[in-house]
Amino acid sequence: MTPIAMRERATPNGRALLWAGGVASLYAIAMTIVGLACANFLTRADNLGALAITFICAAVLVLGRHRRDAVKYLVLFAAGILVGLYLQPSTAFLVAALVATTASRHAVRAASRPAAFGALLLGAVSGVALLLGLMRLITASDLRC
Amino acid sequence: MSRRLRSRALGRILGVVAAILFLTVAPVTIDPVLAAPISPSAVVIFGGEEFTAVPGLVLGRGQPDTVAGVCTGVDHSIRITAPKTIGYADVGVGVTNDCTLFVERVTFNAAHQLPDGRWLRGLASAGPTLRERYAPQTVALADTQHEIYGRHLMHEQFHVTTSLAHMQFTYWEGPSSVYSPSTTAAYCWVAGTGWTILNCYGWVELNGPSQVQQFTGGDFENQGGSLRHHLGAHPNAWIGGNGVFCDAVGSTMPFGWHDHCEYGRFW
Repeated sequence: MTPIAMRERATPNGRALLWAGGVASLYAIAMTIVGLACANFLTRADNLGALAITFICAAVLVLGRHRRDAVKYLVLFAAGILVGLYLQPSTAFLVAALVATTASRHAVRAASRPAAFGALLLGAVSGVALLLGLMRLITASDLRC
Repeated sequence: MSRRLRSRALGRILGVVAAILFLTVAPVTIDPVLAAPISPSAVVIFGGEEFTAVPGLVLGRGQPDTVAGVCTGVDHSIRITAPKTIGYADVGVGVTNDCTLFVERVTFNAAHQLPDGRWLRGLASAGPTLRERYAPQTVALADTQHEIYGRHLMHEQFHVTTSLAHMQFTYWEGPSSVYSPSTTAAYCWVAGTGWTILNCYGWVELNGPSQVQQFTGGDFENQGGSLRHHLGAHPNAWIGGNGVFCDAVGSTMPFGWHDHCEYGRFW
């Protein structure tokens, strides 16, 4: 058995990614429930955008967690997006830390670690860019609860 | 090194990288008000003119009302700006028997830094000597005292407060006037490390007769200079009522974050 094949065999079963996607989705749902106390929560473009991105990335994590082909890099990219998006000085940071830890454990067992961590890092940078982009969608007056 | 150990080591490295990114995320739109000076200063506004508060400075003169035993035309306001290292600022405006208004004292005291690096600080301002002549002559037994507060808070996704500007004061309300004995408690606050108070402002208009109002505002940022924002609360009282309004936040913040304008009356 070649070393690469051994690494592939050692790839986790994806349960951790299932958890990561689930926690991110639960956070988004809980945030929405709490946020409904503010009348404008669901009219803010940044909130809707963040929810959409979160659910899409979580779906990619959950549905693609067992794949061993190129899709697995897409999974890591999606995980990276969640990391970047939730990298904030708030409770959201817990989601970012959990997804980062889970995805890095997944990436370290990949056949090509540079490619795996590259996908993760690229996703994280994209996530931060998305976060900044979402912040540009609103004005200061939209923040009033 | 085993695969498990390498996995853990890489996880930790990623955690450190994530923490660094966490502290430097997101430069945001900055309101021009954030460019305010950070050296302490106090200004007294009297008759539409601004005076830098210096002890002994004569501001002007009101008109003695010998029948009522008060000075009229001595309404003024005080504005204080101070950086985070200033804990308590006090401006006293006095009035002589011939109704000359003058700056009695200007004090800036150092703030107290907590062990975790946060600054505990407040701002206060007063015109106490004025009320010794003015208030005792005008306080009637029927006048009622109230204490109100207003605060402007920034919340993250789950309503956890990350920063706030708070102001509270007592005032007297009579049938035809409101006035404050200038008891003021104002402060700016941030949650945890990583957040910094850049400035904390105070502004008071104490002498009625139709309205008294006080204002506190603060500029905040997280470590690394990002997520910078401005909060400001203006509790005010008038004959027959009181309330508060808050400034616009002064920047945009991440999704799910929101600000809250809060008001209350103790009695």
